[in-house]
Amino acid sequence: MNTSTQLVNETSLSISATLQIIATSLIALVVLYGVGFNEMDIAHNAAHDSRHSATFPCH
Amino acid sequence: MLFRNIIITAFFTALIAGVLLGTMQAFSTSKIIYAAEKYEIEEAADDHHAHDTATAHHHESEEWSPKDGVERVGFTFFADILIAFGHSLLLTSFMALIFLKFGKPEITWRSGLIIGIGGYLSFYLATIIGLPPEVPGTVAADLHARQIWWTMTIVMTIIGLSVLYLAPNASKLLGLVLIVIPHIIGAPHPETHGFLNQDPSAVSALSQLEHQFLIATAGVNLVYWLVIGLFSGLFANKFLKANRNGFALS
Repeated sequence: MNTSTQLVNETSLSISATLQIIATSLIALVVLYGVGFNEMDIAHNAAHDSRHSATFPCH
Repeated sequence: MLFRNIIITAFFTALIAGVLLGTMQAFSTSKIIYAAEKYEIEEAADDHHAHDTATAHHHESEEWSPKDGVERVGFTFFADILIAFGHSLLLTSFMALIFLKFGKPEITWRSGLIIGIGGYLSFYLATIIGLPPEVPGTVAADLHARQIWWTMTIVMTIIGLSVLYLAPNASKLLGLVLIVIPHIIGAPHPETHGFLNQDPSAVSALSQLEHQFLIATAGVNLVYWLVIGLFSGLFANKFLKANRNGFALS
């Protein structure tokens, strides 16, 4: 009984950890998209030199 | 909470790596970009045919752009910190995920450094094979086509390297196949390689700058990725509190 409770806890813990990692990965992608790919003039001009140096496709 | 701890790890790493990246750029790649841009401006003064192009370019950036000097460098630093935050967040998430699923590698600065090299291979080396670093004023293929190839190449290189590291020996070949596929498909290229300014002296100068830019970006991005990896590993070791069962809850 005790063992099974522990197993359930560990499983739910690991699912939640996976979801948290997926969430942080998604935030990373949104940030990188915003700095690297956003086509608004303001975003492009502000990040221009960084985009070229990090070799994002630009222009 | 794992979510918060990964964010904190990326935040501190981004401050260090982003400021370092901005500083390295100010002394190398940015100088080359400024030098290449001079040929865009001279184009308008010297050549009537090129005037339309120059006006169009001016119109394009009419909205707002940082003033040359402190303001422009400041925005570059800001963008660099954001990029570093994104990269470190991705690297730390990746490290946490494979530790959680495969129990390796241990979360330390050494593992971080090795994954950082993987980042350099995926984000820099793999992409420049198809899309060499460009100075402003280079003729290029359709932007969206390049963005799609660039993103696909990074994703497949990351998955390919992960397969090489994690999969049993019999399946490692699959990793190599994944890494090679984008290069078999091939990056989108313009019909002819060249520069918007076709004045022979400008072409010669821009070709030299293009060569310098390749070397500068190779060095800057290598140092940057090593630092991203090193500090992501170091801070993840401190904040993620990994143990045999996964991650500590608090």
